[in-house]
Amino acid sequence: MIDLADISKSYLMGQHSVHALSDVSLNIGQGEFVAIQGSSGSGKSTLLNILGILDTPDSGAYTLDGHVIENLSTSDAARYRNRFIGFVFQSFNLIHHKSALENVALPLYYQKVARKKRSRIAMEYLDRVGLADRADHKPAELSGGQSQRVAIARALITEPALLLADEPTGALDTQTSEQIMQIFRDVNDQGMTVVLVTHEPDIAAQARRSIVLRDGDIVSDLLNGSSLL
Amino acid sequence: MMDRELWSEIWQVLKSNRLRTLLTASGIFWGVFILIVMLGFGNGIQSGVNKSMAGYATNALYLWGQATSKPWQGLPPGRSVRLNSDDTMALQARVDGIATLAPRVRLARYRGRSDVVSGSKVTDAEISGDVPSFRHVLPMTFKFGRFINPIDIESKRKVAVIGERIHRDLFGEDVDPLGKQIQIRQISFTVVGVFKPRRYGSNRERMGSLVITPLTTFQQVFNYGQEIGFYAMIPEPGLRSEAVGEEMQQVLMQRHRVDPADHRAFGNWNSETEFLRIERLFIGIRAFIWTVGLATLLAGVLGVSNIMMIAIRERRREFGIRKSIGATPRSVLTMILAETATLVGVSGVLGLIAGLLALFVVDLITRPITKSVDAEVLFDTPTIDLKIAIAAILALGVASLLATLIPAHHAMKIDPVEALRAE
Repeated sequence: MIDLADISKSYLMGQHSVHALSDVSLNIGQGEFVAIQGSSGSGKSTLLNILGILDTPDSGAYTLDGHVIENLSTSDAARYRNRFIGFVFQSFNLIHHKSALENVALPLYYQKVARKKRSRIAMEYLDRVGLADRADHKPAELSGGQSQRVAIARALITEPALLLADEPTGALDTQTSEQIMQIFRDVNDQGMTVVLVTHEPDIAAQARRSIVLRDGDIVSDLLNGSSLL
Repeated sequence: MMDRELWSEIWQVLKSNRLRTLLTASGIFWGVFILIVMLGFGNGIQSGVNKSMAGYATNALYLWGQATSKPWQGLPPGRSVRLNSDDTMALQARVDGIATLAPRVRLARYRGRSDVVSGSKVTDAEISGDVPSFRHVLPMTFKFGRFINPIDIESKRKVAVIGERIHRDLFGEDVDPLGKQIQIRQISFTVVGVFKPRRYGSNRERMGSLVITPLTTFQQVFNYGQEIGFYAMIPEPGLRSEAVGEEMQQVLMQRHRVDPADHRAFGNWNSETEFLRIERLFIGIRAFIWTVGLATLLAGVLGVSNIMMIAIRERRREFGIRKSIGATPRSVLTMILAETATLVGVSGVLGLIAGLLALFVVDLITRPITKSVDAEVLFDTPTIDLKIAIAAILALGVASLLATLIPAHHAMKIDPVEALRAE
């Protein structure tokens, strides 16, 4: 499903070149639920950006769902993101002047799906995250948990191969975090490959596989005991 | 490209930031409005002035003899130059480019009046001897009868064409005066017409006080012999009356033995010079209007560019989100340009409509004044050439799009990783 081979990426910080990732190789299979842990500066965000085709590695090969991700033009990258990847962010990143329904439907707009069909599908996905009754609300009228559920619905609507979440519970309280993680587990149970980045061990523990990054290297890659049952 | 989906996206974005939309739109609106109103007023003033001058042939030249100021061929200075009917024939034969040559003679000096009598009534009038072609110099219509005709000239008939005021004072407004007699210096003339200048301008009383008789009759009964007072001349279309007048003077100088350098031997006045001066004034006004109007529009365009720049900076995150969920750079560019085009187009057209409405209201208010018969206001219905107005708006749209290209290009290049970095 995901095959990373010897991925390296460095940034220029002033005079110095900083290695964000050095020769990272990683294999994630269809239907896995992976948490990537690491402190800030460990390279986890860089890894997520590369997985999400928002960033390109300096060297190494990335294969996603059988497609070699290499030398894409910006518009091709946009199309791949739209078709293969759903993003969930820490700060939700909903468009504030659009209703919940319109936010969820937006990826389909870029797939040129007709408005009515778009709205119908978006409604189904809102219903799946339990927010059908909030369809006409603007993001400002939604709680943090609700916003994140809208964002998840938006990420899922294109039926992506991969759901990428960047600290999805970072801005939420414990109880709400629990609800969000439940949704991730549910979509994973239905067969969706989920990769989430977090620095909270108890969130990472809810995934089935836990990868720890430090200074651009994978230092541990374990299956969680609970998930083996 | 401009499908319904894009429209509703644009509408949402513009609606979501009302104040910004309103400010940008008002810049464009105002620019177009000002341009339209100023162009309308410019046209209104111009047609007002043109209307006030419509009573005169705008290119007529008047030429008369004065006194020589230089000795020539043994003749002393100070001789007065008297024009006569032979001069008329010589001018017609030797000067090219004359469309109308009307020799005139007056009973008194310029603007001087003499008594006209009918029965027990007396009034004063400017009395002249004229030829039929004088009608081209002073365009006129007839309330009664006709103008002097060639047979009047040929047979030196004692007939007269009178102005409106003379008619009213001697006969009464509703009385048909044709065939009635009037006396000038105890000589009887038969009234054959009552004329009305095509436009009175500011000379209503004077134009109504003219009494016109056949030139030949006038010369005979008032003992003028072959003498001519002055010439009124209209050149062929496309010729300058001043140039033709110069040629006429050359011919007359030879005939009257005047030093060709003696410019004081003849006097002339032409309305063309006045006309050209007014033309030049209008060119100036027009240039001023366009300069101010285009500057206002340019300010509007810069405003659009500026506000789009700010808007795009504010919406960095939104563009980052859009790109992360599959917006291509091209679709971002298209969206921004379409937003600008919509904003400029709608506010431009609204400005055009508001400008036209304002002109319409001005016309409604001024109509009673400008349309009255003896209007002396130099203003008429303000009009606009719609083609020019629409071209101005199109140019404005193109300029705005070009001005938005830079910020839009900026938005295209937004890196979603950067834009979405949690704050």
